[in-house]
Amino acid sequence: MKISWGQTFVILLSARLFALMTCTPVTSDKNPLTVYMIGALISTAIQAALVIPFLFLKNKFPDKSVTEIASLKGRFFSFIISIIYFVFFFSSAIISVTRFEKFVGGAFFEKSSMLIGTFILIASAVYGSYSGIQGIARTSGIIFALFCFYIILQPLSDLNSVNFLNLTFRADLYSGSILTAVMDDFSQSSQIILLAVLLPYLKNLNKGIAGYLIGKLVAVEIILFFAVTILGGYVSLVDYPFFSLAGFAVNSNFERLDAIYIFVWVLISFVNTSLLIFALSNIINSFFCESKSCQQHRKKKNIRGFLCKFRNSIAGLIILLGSVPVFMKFAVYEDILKAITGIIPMIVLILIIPGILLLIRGENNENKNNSCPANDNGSPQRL
Amino acid sequence: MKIKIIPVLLMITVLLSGCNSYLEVSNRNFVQIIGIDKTRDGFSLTMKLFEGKSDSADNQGKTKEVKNITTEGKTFTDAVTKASIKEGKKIFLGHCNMIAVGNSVEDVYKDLDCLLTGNTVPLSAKIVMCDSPADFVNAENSSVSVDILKRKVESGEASESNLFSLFESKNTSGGFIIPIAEIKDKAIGFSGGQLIKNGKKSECADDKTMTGLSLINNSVKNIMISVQKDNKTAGVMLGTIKMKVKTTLKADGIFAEYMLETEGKVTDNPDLMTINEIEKATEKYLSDKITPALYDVSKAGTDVINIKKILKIQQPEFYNSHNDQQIFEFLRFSVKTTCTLDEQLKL
Repeated sequence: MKISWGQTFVILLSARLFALMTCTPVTSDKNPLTVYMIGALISTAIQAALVIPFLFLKNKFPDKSVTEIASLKGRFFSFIISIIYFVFFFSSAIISVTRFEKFVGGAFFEKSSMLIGTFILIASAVYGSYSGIQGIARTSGIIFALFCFYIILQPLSDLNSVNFLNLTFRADLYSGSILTAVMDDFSQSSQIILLAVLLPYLKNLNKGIAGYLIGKLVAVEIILFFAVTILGGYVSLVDYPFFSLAGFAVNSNFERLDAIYIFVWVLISFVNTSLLIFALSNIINSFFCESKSCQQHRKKKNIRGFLCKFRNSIAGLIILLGSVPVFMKFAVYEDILKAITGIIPMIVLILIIPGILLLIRGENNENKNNSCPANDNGSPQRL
Repeated sequence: MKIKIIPVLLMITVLLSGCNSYLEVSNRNFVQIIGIDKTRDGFSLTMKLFEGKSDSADNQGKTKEVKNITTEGKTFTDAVTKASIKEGKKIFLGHCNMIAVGNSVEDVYKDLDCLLTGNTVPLSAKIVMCDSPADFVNAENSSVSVDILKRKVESGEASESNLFSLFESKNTSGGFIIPIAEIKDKAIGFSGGQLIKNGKKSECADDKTMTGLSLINNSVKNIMISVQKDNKTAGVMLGTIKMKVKTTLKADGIFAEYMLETEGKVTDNPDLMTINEIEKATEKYLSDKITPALYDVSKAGTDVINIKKILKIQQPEFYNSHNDQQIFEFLRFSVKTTCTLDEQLKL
C-alpha cells in the first residue's frame, strides 16, 4: 500500500522535527543563532538539489527501493549498498535513542537511568513499525496536527517578549558563520535519506518532497525566529534552546509550555524511531527475502525465515544493544556514530549512490523480476 | 485473539498510573525569596519559606505563614541540600519569585551561574541587590517586597530585572542594572540601582537615573507626574510610552535619537494651563528625565539601554570596527517626545 504525498510530507517532517526540537546549535558571539535562519534557507536549497537523483530513480523504478535497485546489478553489489544504508540507519537510530536519553534524562530525570525509558521507546517503536508505513504515516498526521497546535500556541504565549533588537542579521553575516549554520542544518536533515527505502511506498514523490522541504523550512524558521527574538543571548547558555523557549514565558498567561512540548516531542521520537526501525527491517527484507522464493523463506523454519519474519523485532533489538555502549558512556563510540551520520556520508547516500544506480541501470535486467518488493509493513509482497 | 488482549492491556494501564519516586506537597518547602551571600568557604543562603497555615502562634496570637532559615554550603546546591536536611523537607525553588544578592557577591555572572543549573529557579524571578548582606529576606514584611517592586517599576521609580534578563545580557550587552533593596524603619524600599558591567559591580545609579531608564524600557504603566511651566502646575497621567531609536553616524560621533510617543490625560489643572502648554511641559519633563539618565549609564560604560544591539542592527560597520570603550566615547543622545493628552479631560 502506498502513501500519499501529504503523508510523505508529514512522515519526513516528523523525523526532522525530532532533531529540530532538541538540537543544540553551535552558537557563540561569532556564530549567533540569527545566521541559522539564513543557513536553513541555503541548506534547504542544497537538499532540494541533492534529492534529484531520488526523483529520477523513482521515475525509472517506481516500485523499488535503492537496495532493491542495487540487487539488479548483482548480489555482492546489493550486499555492499545494503550494508552502507543499514549502518547509516543503525547509527541514526542510536543517535536518536541517545538524544532521547540525554534530553529526557538531562531535562527531567537527572538522577534516574533512562534505560527503561529507552527500552519502552524502542519496544513501542517496534510495534509501530509492524503496523507498516500506513500506520506510521497516520500517526505522523495526528502528531503533526499536535505540533501545529503547539507552534501556534508558542508565539501566542511569548508575543510580548519578542524583541526585534535580537535580530542582528547584517552584523552577524559572514562566510564562516553561514557555512557553520548550513552544515549544522544539513547534518540535522538526514531523514531525507529515508527516501532510499521509502521510494516504493510513495505516491507523487515530487509533491511530497516539495511539501517536506517547504514545511521543514517554515517550521525551522518559525522556531528559530522566536528563539532568537525571545531568548536573545540566553540561547548560548542553555543546552536546549527550543525547550527553554517552551519553559519561558515571563510576560505570558500560559507561564510554561514545556509540558505540551515534551508530550509532542515524545510522540515525534516514537514516529522517528519507528521509521528508522522500518527502514532497517526493509533493508533486512530486501537482502534476505528478495530471492525467488521469498514466500517460501517466510514459511521455512531456518534462520533466514526467522530473520524475514521477525526483522522489525531484530532491528529493534540491534538498536537496543547498539545503544548500550552509549549508556556506558563510551565517548569514542558516539564519535564514530556521529562521523557515520555526518555530512560526507549523507552526500554519498543522497547523491553518489543513487547517481551510480542511475548510471548502471539496465544491467542484469534479467533479475529485475526476481526482486521481492515489500508490502505495507515491510513483508514480501509478490514474486 | 487481538481483541481479547486489548481489555487485559487496558486493565494493566490502570496499574501504570502511579509514580515511584513522588514527593507529597506536605514534604516540600516552598521558597518564596532567597538571599545569596558569598562566604569564605562558599555560599550562605537566607530563605523565606512558605509554611501554609501554621498551628503555632506568635506572641501576638497571629499564626505565621512564613519562616526564615539560613544555611551554608560549599556550593549553591550543597547549601540547598543542607537546608533540606535541616528542615526535614525537600527545598523547592520552582516558586521562588525574588532573589536578593548580597554585597559580598562580586562577580554576578560567575557567582549566580549556579541558578542556571537544572532550571530549578524560574527565569521570571526578580533580582534585587542589597547594599548589605542579603538579610533583607529576614525582614518581617519582605514577602510583600515583590509587590512593592512591581508598583515601583510600574510607576517608573525602579527598573525591573529578572533572572532571564540577567543571563540574556551576559553574552550580548555585558551591561545590566539591578534595583537596590533597603530597609528603613522596618519598611522595605527600593532606591536606585546597581550597574553591573561584565558581571562586576560598576557604579550605583541614583533614583533620577533609574526613573529616566524606566521611562524608556516599556515597563511604565499609568505613571502620575506633575509638570510645570511658567510657575504653573498640572497633574498628568501617562499611559504606555512607545519608543523608537534612530542612530546616525556623523563626523564627531554616533547620534542616538530617542523618539518617544505617549498618550495620557490631565488629572489636575489648578492653574488652568492650556492643553498645548501641558503637552509641551510633559514632553520637557520626559526629556529632562531621560537624557541625563542615558548619559549617566553610558559614562559608566554599562550598556543597560541596549545601545550596542541597536548599533549592531543600524550601524553594523561602526559596531564591528569599534570596541565598547570607543562606542560609548563616541555616543551622543537626543530625546524627542510627542505627547498627546486626552481631549475630554482638557478642562
